[in-house]
Amino acid sequence: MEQVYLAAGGAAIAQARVDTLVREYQTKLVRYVRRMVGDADTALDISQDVFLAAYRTLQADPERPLTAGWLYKTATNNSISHLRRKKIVRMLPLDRDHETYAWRIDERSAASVDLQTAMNKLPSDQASAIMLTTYAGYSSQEAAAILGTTSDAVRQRVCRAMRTLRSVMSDH
Amino acid sequence: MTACNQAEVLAGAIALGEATDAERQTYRGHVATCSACLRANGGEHEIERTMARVGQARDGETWDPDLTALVREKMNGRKRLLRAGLTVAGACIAISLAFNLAMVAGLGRIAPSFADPLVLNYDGQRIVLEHRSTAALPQATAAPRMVVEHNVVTLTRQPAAVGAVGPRAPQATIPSVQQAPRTVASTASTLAAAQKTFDDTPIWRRGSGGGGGSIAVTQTTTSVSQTIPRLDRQTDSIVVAPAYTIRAPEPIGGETALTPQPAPIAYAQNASGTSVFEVQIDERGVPTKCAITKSSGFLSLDDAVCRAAMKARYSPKLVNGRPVPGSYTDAFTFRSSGNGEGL
Ligand SMILES: [Zn+2]
Repeated sequence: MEQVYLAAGGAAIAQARVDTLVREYQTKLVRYVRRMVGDADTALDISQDVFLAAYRTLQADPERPLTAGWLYKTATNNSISHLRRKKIVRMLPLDRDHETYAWRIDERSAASVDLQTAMNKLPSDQASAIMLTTYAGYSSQEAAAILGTTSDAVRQRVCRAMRTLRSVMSDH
Repeated sequence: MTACNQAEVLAGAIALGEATDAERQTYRGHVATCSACLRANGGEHEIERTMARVGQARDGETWDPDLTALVREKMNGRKRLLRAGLTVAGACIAISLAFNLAMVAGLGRIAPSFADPLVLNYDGQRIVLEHRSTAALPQATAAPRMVVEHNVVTLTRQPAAVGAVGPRAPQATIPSVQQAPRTVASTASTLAAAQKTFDDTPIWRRGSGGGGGSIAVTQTTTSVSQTIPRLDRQTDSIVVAPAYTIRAPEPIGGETALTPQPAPIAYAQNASGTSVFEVQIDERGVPTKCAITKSSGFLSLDDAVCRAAMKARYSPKLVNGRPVPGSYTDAFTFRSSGNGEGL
């Protein structure tokens, strides 16, 4: 009986902590994932899975510290495996204007379209490097810790991603 | 690593604003002699210009879906699974007579009943079993209220300067708007004063008295009552609730501490609308970043709102009394009223 109560208490703690994580990071996370996969519905699914994974982890150990970095790391891995599994390229933002969650009119600025067009062309290691730094606001060193690489590698990937964006910008 | 690979790393550092002067120097040195790298990456300014494009895209994002309910639903689905699993586990445990005897003895000591239930609490460090009497519970207090205040700022147009004919260039007659914000007061008394005064005071001002223009501030306050789990004598269940206290960040001095002062261009544009902003507050209460989550449609108004939000100081978010980074959201509605037009 005691174990049952303790397990139920652990679940409640885990749930409260995940609630807090959701409130704090959901906006940043869904925007990051949407840029990664190029599609709003997929971004919603993946983000929910990330928080659910956090819940599973916390259920096993309610005291375990979970940082934003953990959320981004899981989101990055899930996005990459989604792109790989579906063997799809990221969708273009402009041809989906009728959808509720897709890119809204006020988000379809020239800058936004340029960025997404570039994102669609990038290999996922470059895409995650430029997004974690510019969108999520991590330094190259922090992004390197999330991606399991060195900060020099992150900087190099950012440079290559930037090159692609530059060529997209000069296309028009 | 070849020199060109090294140049990529340096270009990345420049792109992220992390490069030291020495690193910039090295990059300049490389592209001065390597046309391939110069063509591919561009010079320092080119890199920074390209990266600014990413910043524009990021700042233009407005998508803000709410996953709270969806995630909670999925968690509850998992909890039911867990409970089912625990039931099976419980059946296995029941086989052990010795364990059962021990449990009976243990429960006999704790002996929860509806009048005297067993409560589990999480105090941020560990789980404690409390022996608490329902009778000893304080009178059911009102649930904590979350107050959402909405600022409505009305911008009043300053009467035209004496002798001015027709529409005038706003910049010409508007001096600095970077003055200390004045106290917020009701407009009724200030309107007359505003109409009398024909001086060079700024037209966009939140406040009253003395100046030509006036800005009325009304605040509509809505209360949202939050339901908190409470022990209820009528329910025949034992409540398991985590004690997790969270206090949201607030501007020091209240909402009125934020005083957006739109630039003169707002006047020229006849700007109006509602800017909703979110400002990130670090654990010291210092704002680190401001984003417009819903634009008023006027850069000048949005800009003023974010500048005001970044200027204020906040009390940090507290989780179980510990300061942590958090965010603060509010809205300002600007209305450009035509006062002074017909004078
Ligand atoms: Zn080179």
